[in-house]
Amino acid sequence: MNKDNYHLERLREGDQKTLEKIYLDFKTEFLLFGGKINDDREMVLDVYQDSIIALYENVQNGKLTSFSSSLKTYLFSIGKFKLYKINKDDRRFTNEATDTDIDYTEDLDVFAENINADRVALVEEAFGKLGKKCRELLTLFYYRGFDIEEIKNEMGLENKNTAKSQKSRCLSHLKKLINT
Amino acid sequence: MRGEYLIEAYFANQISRDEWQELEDLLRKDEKLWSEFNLQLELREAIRQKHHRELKDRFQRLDLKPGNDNTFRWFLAAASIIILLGLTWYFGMISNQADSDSLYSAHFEIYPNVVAPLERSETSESNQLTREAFGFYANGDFEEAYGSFQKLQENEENEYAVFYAGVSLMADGKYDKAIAEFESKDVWQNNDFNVAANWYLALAHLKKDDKKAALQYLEKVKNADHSYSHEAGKLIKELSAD
Repeated sequence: MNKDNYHLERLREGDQKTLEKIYLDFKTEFLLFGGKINDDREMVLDVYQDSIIALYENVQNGKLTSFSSSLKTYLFSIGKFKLYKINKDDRRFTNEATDTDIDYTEDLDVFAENINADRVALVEEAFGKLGKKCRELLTLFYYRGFDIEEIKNEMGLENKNTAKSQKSRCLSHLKKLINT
Repeated sequence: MRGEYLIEAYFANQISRDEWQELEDLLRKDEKLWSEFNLQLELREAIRQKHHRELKDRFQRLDLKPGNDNTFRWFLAAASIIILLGLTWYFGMISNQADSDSLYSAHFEIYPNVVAPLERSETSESNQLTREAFGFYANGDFEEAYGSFQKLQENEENEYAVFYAGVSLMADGKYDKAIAEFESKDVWQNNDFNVAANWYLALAHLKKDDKKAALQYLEKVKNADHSYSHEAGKLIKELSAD
């Protein structure tokens, strides 16, 4: 088993030490690399952090199960894509790079493009008022991308229907909290 | 019902291309479904943002720790080189054992769990003991891990149990026992374990300051065309540079 896949396993298990190690290992190089694309150092660091988070989340929610090339290539591809996207919106950089250069699949989630930021803040506030079990359950569903079977196992519930009904209850409770 | 099923599949990242299309169509026709879905999208985004903030805070704290700030790092590196040069000259002849110890520490790492990655949907009973063993192992409880791997050996011909028992003993500082454990297997079915066992045997002998034995095992690893071969070559050079 190679080192990258070993790290992937550790990340999947939520190992914070591994996450921090990876963050520090590639930071300097990424800052140098990103600096050539965008000279705003703060921005590049921000993008780096976002890229690490994207890597971590994709491992956790099952979108990324193994590396076809390497962890570093994957990480840097995410970062490169984000940086070029920023440049495209910034008038200073005209046609620096084309989308064809990028060979990586970030989730260009069409549905998620038009989410209302104010609504999200409202939902976040209501979410914070939910009980611990509901928060845990909903986090597994929506953040970790667990399916009903996995939720049932993770939370030690009796059967799939129990999991489903608990989820409904939590969601309707959330709706009540949002509307008050 | 269909709409709900598809929405679930979407959030579980298990939706197919065709199902995605179907979902889009349903959402366009059914306003109630669309608003249900929208709420869930907002919920996902809300949870994400919360986690993102927490992770970013963590990274920022990490950046502020001394040594992780790059400019300070350069200074530390330069200073340590100068000090190191002075010290190596001074301590050069003092301890052979110290050399072996530091070489050992530089090269020893516990072997990753290639047998039973702790999958979240793992429910099979027969693997209970295995999960337990690797749980201890991953946690650094090597004495307990060794105990569990021992038990596994009693039940079946589990080659990996012998291997990981050996690694656990090494991590626990019990080098003689580790050597005995690895040597208890004459022939390994799995070649990766075979080469890795030789690697650990080399390290164990190195730790006991028996460089001759260590080099013998290292030669085997080097010639085996394995992921450890390169490192074995390096260590051979380091040992021969005395």
